[in-house]
Amino acid sequence: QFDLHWAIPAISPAERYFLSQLISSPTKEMFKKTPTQIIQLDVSSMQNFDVSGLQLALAERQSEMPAQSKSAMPCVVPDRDTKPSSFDHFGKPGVINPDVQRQTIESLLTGNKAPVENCMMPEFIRLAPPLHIAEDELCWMNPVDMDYSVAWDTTMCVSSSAGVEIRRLMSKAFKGALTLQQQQQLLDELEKDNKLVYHIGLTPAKLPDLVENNPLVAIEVLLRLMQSNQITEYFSVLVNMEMSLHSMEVVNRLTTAVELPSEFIHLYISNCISTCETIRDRYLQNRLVRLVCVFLQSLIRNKIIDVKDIFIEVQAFCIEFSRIREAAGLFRLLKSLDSADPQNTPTAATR
Amino acid sequence: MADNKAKNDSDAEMETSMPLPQVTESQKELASQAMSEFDKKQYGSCCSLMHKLIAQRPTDPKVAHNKAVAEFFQSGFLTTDEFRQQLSKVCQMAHVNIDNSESLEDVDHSVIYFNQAVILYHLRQYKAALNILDKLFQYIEPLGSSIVGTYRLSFRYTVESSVRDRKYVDSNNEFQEEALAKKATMLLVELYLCTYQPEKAMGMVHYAEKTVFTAGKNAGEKENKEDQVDEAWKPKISLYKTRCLLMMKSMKSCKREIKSLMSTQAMNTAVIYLKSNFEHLRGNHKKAMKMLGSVSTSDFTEAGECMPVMYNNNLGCIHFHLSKHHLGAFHFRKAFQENENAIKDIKRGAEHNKNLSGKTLNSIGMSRHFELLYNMGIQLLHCGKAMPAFDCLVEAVQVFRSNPRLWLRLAECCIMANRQNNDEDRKLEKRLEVIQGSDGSGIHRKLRLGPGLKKDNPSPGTPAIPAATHEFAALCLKNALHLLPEDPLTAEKVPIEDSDTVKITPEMVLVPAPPGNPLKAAEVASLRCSILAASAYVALCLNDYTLALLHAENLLKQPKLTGAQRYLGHLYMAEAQVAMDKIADAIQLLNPELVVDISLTLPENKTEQDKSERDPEASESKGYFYPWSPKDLTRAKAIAQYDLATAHAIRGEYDKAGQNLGESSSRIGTPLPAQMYFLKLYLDLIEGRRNMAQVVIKDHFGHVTPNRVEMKMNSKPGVPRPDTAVS
Repeated sequence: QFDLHWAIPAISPAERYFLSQLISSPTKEMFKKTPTQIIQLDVSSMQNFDVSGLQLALAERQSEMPAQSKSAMPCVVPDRDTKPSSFDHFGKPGVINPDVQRQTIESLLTGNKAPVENCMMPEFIRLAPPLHIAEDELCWMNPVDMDYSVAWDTTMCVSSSAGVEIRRLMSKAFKGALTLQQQQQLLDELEKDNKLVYHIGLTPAKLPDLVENNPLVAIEVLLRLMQSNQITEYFSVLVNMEMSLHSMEVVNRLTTAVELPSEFIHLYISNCISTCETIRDRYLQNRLVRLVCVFLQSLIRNKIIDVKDIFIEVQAFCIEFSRIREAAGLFRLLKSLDSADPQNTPTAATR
Repeated sequence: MADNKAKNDSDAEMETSMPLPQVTESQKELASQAMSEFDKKQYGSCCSLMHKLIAQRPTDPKVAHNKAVAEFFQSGFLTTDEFRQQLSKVCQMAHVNIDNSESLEDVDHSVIYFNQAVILYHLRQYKAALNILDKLFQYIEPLGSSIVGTYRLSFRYTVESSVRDRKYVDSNNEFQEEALAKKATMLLVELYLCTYQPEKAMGMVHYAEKTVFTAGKNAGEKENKEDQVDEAWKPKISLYKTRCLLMMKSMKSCKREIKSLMSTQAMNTAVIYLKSNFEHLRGNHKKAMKMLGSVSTSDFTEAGECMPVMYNNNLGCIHFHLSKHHLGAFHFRKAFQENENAIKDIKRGAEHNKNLSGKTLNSIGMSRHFELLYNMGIQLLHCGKAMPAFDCLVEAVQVFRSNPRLWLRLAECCIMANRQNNDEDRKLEKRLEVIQGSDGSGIHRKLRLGPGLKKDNPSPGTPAIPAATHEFAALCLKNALHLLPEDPLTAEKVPIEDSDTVKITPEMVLVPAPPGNPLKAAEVASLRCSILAASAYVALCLNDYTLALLHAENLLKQPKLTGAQRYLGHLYMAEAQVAMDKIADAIQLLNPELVVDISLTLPENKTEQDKSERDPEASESKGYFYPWSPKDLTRAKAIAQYDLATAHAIRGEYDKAGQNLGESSSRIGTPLPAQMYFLKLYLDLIEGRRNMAQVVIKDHFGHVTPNRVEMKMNSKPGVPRPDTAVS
């Protein structure tokens, strides 16, 4: 009644026996038999004919597979002619025509993509997404109403002798100390022309050399560069350069002349302290510690830094180097400020 | 130590080469003469003066530099190659490494760097030019800044009044220095615009307005000249501002700016184009078109731009937005031809010379080839011509590879090349694939069913070689996704501790999309949705279901989805889930009642536009979308229901499948998609209703079988009739 073209047609016990033998344990004898002999075999007496184990294993294996991969059916569907389609067929419905049979089998089984290899399964309608919608995607072109052309160097041959001289002095100043007279000349020229400072060839990278060799010039130049947007770069170079008497002098003078960003000063102080702590040479260490202490005292006395911000760090520093007189002095100064502080606050409160 | 010595040596060398011979009075005179000739544009006499000067000062880099400049001007900017050579020679003389902007240490060399940047700008090496100018600006800025400038002016005039002649030279010199600062600032703004950084450009314009260009305002009573200069710059600043605002798409401020521009220089071509651009962005396409038409199109602007190219290109843009895609393509093609012609003309002139020389400096970077390819490609895609569009865009993407939307477009080309549109399944040729034919005759006749519409033929070659395949599309989409800023959904989960970063994220930065305007946050969000949808689709086509599921889930998590995207997200997710054997989940997703909206745009968008644009004309069509099917909700529901039937069929629930299929087929619209025939046959055959299947086959694919069911029933009366009545 139902025509399941995709199901394996019912097979005879003999065929079933043959298959089970083939899958489980084929005996040599069996291969000697012809198909006709196998089909005519009497299997009712045979043992070892139970394929239920095999079927169970198959079912188990299939249960692991996704439903989709089990959903396909063969593409080849029998469609027996109900009416004779050619003269040969008249009067012999259902007769096997070996020629046609062979041709059909060949066309179904052979070839690159043999139809029997195909299968058909339920398939989704997969909609492609719509094109992306953008408000403003295309490239609109506007004429550029500007003429960007090459510029003439207006400083040709007009740079005054002063400029050249200053540059020469500066390049000297990077390498060694200038004489007092030279320094004065340099500072005079800088005084005369506010913009000259941008032309003297001082870059942040060269600043340490200038500081080491001519701290006074460095201070003057830095003060003049305060308005430059590069000043923070100069500062960061200054903070990170090797600590020395000169660099400390420059920083000290700067603090008194202009208001420096407090984080810059803090950074410099911690840099100094860590330099003191890590230095090996005992003699040099003592010298540096003394310097730092004097520097800090001056900063505190001049109220350039708020002691509270660096209290713990400096206190630890003083204790570590308490053998040095200046450190002890700094420690006392800290203590006095610390004890003075709580007195101040209540009086302020009572007022 | 050795290092130190070497350093000292090199320093000493510097020292020896540094001091130039003193400038004599006669040389000074010569130099100032040359400069005044140059200012008067008498380049010939300027050149001869410079020749005299260089004979006297052969080692002076500045003299060599100005000689090169003068000669370049005299050649009419034709000798770019030569000028570059001269410039590099000057660099050697001045011990400057022009390729390393870090090496800029001395303001004295700023002109050299500036000129290098100018050349790079014309060669369209914007990034390189920008590097130089960014650095240069730090040095130049204090020179032009008003604070220093004014102070110094008064200083000169009061304190140092004794040295009269030097004062003149110096103040003039200072004026020139400021001119350079102005020029550099302008170029910097232009470069920011060229690299699509409108915010930076705007910042620079504001800054410049305050400092560089107001120089002398305070001293204005004394110096009328300075004030005039400032006035002269004003319209230019206004133009820059307008361009920035247009690029940032801040329409309100832009409107104000344009109004003031139009009141002062309504005849300026650049202004008219900007105004037209503005109207175009607002959606007043007719107005925009009228504005464009009002400009008399001379062939080339002073800046060497080809007007017909721009005119046609912009017309193309307008028609694109009016959904007149074929007309748009026509205009782009015309722009393309004009561009080719313009280049050919220049090339003909340049034939005798090598490389860059022979074209004027302005026209070197004139060709808009790649921008036009980009526009053309997108336009063709909207014409439904996937392959030509692909060819255009694949060229364009080599230049504009940082544009995520362009990558998406490329992927869309691939998708379209493989599936022209969603109605493709309904075509006869697809339906004919359902039954491929028959073999044998008589008792041996066999029907061959088709294996389905799905084609799993992996493309030959690697996906890295551009071809309109799904594999390449997947690559493109990956690129697109990477170019977007991190998805706020996934990003927010990680750093919650930082309260600062959370604050920063809302004010999203613009995402560059060259050669178009950069993307705003909302555009990025919608682009991300489109990319995810396309990614999920492509992953399904490549049978990468895990990835497809991931993309679909991600898509559905996005905060602002269009109805269509939500619908597609559900379909894609369900298909991936079925493949991964989570059919129960899929069946829930595919419930057709869940499909309530398939609009292609966000609903909020409309209200927002209504608020912001009161202009009645502005509401003229924003619907320049490429038609997408399903067009209506009924069909969309029917498709979801078909997919539901499929899911049921795969699970073996054939009754439910048949029922859903029947309902779906009555609403999906005719002609039916080929898949429905497949499923109908599948359901009949799998349950053994061979006769039912035969009815379908005979009705729809009669050419493959001679066998009518009625005849069969007559010959075999045992077959139960009710089966056939089900259909």
